[in-house]
Amino acid sequence: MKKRRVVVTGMGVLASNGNGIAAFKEAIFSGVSGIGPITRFDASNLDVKIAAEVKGFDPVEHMPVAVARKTDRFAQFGVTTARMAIDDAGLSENDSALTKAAVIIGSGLGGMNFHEEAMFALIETSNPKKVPASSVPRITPNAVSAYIALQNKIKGPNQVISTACSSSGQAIGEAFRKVRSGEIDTAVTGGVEATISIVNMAMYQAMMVLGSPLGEDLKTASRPFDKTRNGFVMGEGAACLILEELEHARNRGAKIYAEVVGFGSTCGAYHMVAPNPSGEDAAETMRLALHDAGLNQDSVDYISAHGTSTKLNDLAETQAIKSLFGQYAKDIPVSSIKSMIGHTIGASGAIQAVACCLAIDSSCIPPTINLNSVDEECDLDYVPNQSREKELSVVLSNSFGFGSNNAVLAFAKIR
Amino acid sequence: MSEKEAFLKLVETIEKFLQLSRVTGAEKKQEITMDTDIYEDLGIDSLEAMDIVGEIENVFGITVEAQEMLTKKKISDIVTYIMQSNSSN
Repeated sequence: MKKRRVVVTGMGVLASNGNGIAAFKEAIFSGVSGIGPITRFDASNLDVKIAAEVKGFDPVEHMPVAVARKTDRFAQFGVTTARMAIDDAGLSENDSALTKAAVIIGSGLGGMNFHEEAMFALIETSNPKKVPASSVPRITPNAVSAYIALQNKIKGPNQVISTACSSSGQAIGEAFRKVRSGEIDTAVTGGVEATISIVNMAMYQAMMVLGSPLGEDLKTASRPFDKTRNGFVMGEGAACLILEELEHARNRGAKIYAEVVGFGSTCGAYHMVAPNPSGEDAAETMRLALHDAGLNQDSVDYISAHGTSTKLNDLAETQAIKSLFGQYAKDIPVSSIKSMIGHTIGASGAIQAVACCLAIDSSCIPPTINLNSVDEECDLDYVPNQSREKELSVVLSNSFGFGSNNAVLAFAKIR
Repeated sequence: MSEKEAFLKLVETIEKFLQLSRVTGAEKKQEITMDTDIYEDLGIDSLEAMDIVGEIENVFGITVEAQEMLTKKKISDIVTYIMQSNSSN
């Protein structure tokens, strides 16, 4: 039986360098960084005082006040980007394409902001009654997929996948499989993360994984593949995509950004936080995604790297690409949008997916900014500092999470 | 305590709760009158209502039957209930 084909027909994004598809597209192709000082709380006691915050986001502009009041920032991001994607796809409420859809969202941390508030309220007063009755539905990770469903009356399978930094790569992959298998025709999928809270920042700071700027320019703090890179910048954000079966999309005259053609998912079973330096598990995941798509290695025109800007990740990912693609590795442009928007943890795979679809649709590769000092061990074409025009037929998007959790998506230009 | 005093105190309590229970930073207020239905008009759900009952007990220094109070929908009914509880306490 012929495999059903799956296409992207709508997208929505909130990122530190642009809210909404048009602003984000302009920002990533122009190399605009969203990194700056932390403003969401008083960060004076932290060593790391920078982050990539979503700016100018007022939830009340995107949902009823009562919903905004009852939801953590992470769920608000999901409700907002899902709405953007649904509108972009031209789907309307009560349309069966939407009511029967799946909602599959990635989130590494869930309702972290409110969780911290509830803990502080209890600790400061030693009174458990200070924890509100309405806490659990704010904190639970599936608040995001539930509120997306509630707000849009979407009654198909509803899931949140939590695999740290690969959460939304896994979520999109699962949604892709459900549409391809025929279980559903449409999915609202993506990832969310609201990371800029004091406990979360303190936890990552303690792990020594956060980077610092070169000199006074805070925007230099994220510099994937650069010799001087020393960690990632915590970012927040979200993205949702509408995945749809090809004929279904064509029959209703939907705009098609790109096709999802393959998904690879593995666990390296190597270490809780460090990547395998050989990159063998990452390479295997890319191989599986290409195999799933029925494509050869030499068909890949661009790789959207996980590229966190840590010493270990960027080297292991480079090794993985070299081991899988051999001689051809140096001919493949590889770039990291984390150079501009920091590491958005569970949202990163979804924001990358949006960037990949825009790259295919616009025939343009977003750059790796802040890449000025060559690292002899990172010797691929990382598209330094300037975007590059190129026709793209096949694109890979890498997401590698803590717990050696790997997800790779393959996108293609629609034929 | 007059009915008007009870009303103003109740509005202040609910407004403070709605503000406190928000992590959004958005400042848009919902106007509250004697006719306001806390569920329909303010979008308060049953869990939030339980939190508000707790706040009312603290602020008014009264003990209420939570289950009974949760059946009151309009601000005017809640005010009446508080006035009755106040005099019996």
